[in-house]
Amino acid sequence: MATTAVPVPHSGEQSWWQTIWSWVTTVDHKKIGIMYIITAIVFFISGGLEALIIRMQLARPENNLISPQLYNELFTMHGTTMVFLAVMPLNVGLGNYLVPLMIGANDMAYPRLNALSYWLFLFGGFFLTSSYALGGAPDAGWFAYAPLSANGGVLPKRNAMDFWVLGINLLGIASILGSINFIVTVLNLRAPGMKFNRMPLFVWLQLVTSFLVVFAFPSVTVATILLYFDRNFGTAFFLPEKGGDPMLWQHLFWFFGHPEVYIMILPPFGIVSEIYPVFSRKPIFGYAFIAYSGVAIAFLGFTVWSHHMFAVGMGPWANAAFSATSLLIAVPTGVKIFNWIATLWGGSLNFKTPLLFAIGFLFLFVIGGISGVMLALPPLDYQVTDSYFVVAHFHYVLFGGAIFALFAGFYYWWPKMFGHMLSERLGTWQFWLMFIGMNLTFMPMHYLGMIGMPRRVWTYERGLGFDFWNLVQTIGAFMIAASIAIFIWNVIVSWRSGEAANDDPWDGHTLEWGTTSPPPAHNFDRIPIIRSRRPVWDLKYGGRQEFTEPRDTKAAGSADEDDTPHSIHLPPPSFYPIIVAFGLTVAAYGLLYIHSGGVWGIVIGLSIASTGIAGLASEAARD
Amino acid sequence: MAQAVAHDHGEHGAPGGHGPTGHPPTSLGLNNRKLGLWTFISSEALFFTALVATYLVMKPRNLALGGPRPEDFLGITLTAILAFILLMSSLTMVLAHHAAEHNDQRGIRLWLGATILLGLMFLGGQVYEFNKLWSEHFVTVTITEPDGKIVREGIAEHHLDAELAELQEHHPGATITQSAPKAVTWTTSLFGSTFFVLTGFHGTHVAIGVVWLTVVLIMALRGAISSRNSLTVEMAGLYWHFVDLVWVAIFTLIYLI
Amino acid sequence: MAEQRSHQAELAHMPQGHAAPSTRTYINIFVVLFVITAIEVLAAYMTDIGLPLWSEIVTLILLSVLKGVLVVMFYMHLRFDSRWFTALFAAGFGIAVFMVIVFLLLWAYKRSSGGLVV
Ligand SMILES: [Cu+2]
Repeated sequence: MATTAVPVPHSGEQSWWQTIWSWVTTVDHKKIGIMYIITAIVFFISGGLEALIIRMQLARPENNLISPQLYNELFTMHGTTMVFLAVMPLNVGLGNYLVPLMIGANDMAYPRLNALSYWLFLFGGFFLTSSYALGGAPDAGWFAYAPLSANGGVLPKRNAMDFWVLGINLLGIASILGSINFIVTVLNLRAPGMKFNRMPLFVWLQLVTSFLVVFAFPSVTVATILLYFDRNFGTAFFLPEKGGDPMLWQHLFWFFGHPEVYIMILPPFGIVSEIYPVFSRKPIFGYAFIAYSGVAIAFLGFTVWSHHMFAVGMGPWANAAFSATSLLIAVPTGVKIFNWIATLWGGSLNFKTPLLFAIGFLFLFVIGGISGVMLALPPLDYQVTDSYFVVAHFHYVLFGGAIFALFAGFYYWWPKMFGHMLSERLGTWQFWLMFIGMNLTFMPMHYLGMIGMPRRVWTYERGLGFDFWNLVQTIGAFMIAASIAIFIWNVIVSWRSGEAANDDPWDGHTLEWGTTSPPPAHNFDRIPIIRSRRPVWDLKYGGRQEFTEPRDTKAAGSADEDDTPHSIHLPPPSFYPIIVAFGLTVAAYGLLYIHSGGVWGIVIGLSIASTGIAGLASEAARD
Repeated sequence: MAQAVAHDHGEHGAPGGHGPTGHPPTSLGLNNRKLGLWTFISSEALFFTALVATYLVMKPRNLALGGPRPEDFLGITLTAILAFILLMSSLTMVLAHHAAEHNDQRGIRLWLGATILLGLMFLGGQVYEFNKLWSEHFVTVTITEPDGKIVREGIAEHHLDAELAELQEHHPGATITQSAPKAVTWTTSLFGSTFFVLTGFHGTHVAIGVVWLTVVLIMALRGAISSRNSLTVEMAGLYWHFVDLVWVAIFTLIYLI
Repeated sequence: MAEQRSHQAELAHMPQGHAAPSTRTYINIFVVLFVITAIEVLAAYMTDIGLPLWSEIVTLILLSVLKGVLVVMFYMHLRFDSRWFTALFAAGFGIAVFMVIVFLLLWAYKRSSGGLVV
């Protein structure tokens, strides 16, 4: 029974290696959340640099800045990095930090598993990126269509796509374990009185997202395993010349790939659903609609995958069916947008940076949503499939949507996480630069796609009408880069001399604003008994004020019907999560070099991982 | 969805033995680990679904390309025995759990041991089957009709003579050529690829289950399992029954149909 | 609180908590599973005695679903456990069934339309 008092680290009293050790062995959801966010921002920047090189190559026609091969590697890694190493882990990082706070828990349900997910993500990202140094990066596009991906990419005998296959699986394990953790946390660790219909919408949408991960990732796991066998053991699942069926890859991949879009965008929906009411000083409009339409989107999200394949020849009935379901899914999405507008409508808007980004999100996401509805129509899709129109569409959804919402979330929760404000002035600069740069970069892509510029081409001929807008787009891309630089600068400046934040700088209403900034290791000394969707407003503005007993005393007395006293129960730090993640990564390198002695890597890696798992199990048995 | 949360504690108050160990009651009154395991199991269900779907959609393609016919190679008798072994092991598993709940130390060890033994027997049967398949051969026969239409058929080598005579009768005037015999492995046909990958992953899960159960058995032999932590047995059991469940599906969809 | 404690004490005395089945039930379930499996093996020969293929497939799938339901309800205790576990499993299983059916339809359609046959 480990009700260990966890010493709150005081950075001043620690040597540097103690500090590192405390982070390496931490099982605190807040530290893990911060590590997720920092790591994901590093990968976001690396993915952004890849995009900048792509834009430089495309700045003028018949350009020769980089080789076609490197170009293929860059756009593949840009997509893979942004999807798996930036947007997803940024969502997970914010979720990790906030979900336990928002539901009034001390930590996640499985703190050590949480650490394992993080280390697997970090090592998986390292594994993928190490491909640049070990013979070349993956080059078959982020959805790795077979047979191109099965044959070893453009150049034969490269193991670039094996990096992709194995990296996706490391990240997939991390995501599935992380999502199970979120599901159990939200279902089981809510504070007394925190009924489902009182949970913050951010928590709702993280819960829905976790279910999507749990149900969607197995499909890509199977697809990538089969691809690995095709590439390394002579099977022919996806190789048409040996009887295989490339369509199978597409269906298995997109059965995961479409839900993946919602995995990336639902948590940002949750972020803005928290920000709009706080900054318009009104309750959210249509709470239940937003929550349940999220559930509807999740289920419908499993019925639309083939809209990515209209042009491959599935036939008119299949195209019509998937077109219909895809149009249908616009309905719950539209419901949300109207709810958000109605929340802002008539509110006394407080135009701070979080709201700026959240409104930018709304504006840009609607554009991406509308082009999405257009693409759901097979006749139009035939015209613009694999053109820049598609690139424009998903960047409005994922950059204009997810990334803008994530920045809104950073500006909103930064004071809670670090105890100081980010600069409003720099934030405003960042917003406008990013907003203008984003539209300069991606708006012309609609037009270029319409007039026939295909995506994923290394260069284009002079005089096709592509020249001017491509240059504009490259300029826009550099504006985005500058805006990110401002953000980094903002982080550094505020770190040194930012205005100190009080516990509740925005007049928030969700539970995380009811503790200190930053919160103590155990999050809350006392949890209010939740009476409404806005527990902190109830405290401030005179709802009923009742608390559970201070958490460090054992249950006694006060027989309130909702009262469930907790004793503080934080597990001690553990070194085993990083061991398990390390072992699995070694095994992945073994699988990569399976035909040149990699078997030993697998054996050693799995032995390390098993040792770690045994350690985790014995720790789990002790608490 | 939105029922009262905090009232349920007494109702389901951690029957998995966690009440006495001092864990705080959970919002749903359900044990965290069990809830996580069930979530994991539904995820695993989709993993096997993707493999089964792959097998099923590739089956007609395999036949049209002259791959082996599954029914020529998959003996029902052996599989029925394997299905019986796994069902039996589910029974012994649930008895082990039952014994744990009643603190019946002898029962825990006996039934856990029996389950492990049955699991090993299943794995042995699978190794035997894989080995047997690997050493069998099929021949792809190409029938070119006088009008140029081409049909392919995969025929088990041990049926070849009889089938060839029949084919000649059914396709008068057609030229019939045959390939060299090919072993039934996971690289020689779509049937082989999909079958070995699906059943291989199932077998891997059985093996993991055996390891898990062995760990629990060792704990039991040390007297570390009792009615207070019968959840340890229950968790391994849930996983084990799930693996049996997958075999119920595989047995029907792959072997019988 | 007091009520909750006494309830837990009660649970300690009666470990199954709910009306969990007895050894007898488990063995009965096993016998039923065994019989169904035997029927399944026989049903696999339905086409051999001239019955249509679809009848064999339907029979076999129904029988295996019955087996699965018995295993999940009794051996995995869903019948006696929280509805939450049932809901979790049903959600995954529902998506799984949907996936298989749509995949089969898509490939059947592909074959029938002759587009990308084989
Ligand atoms: Cu999609």
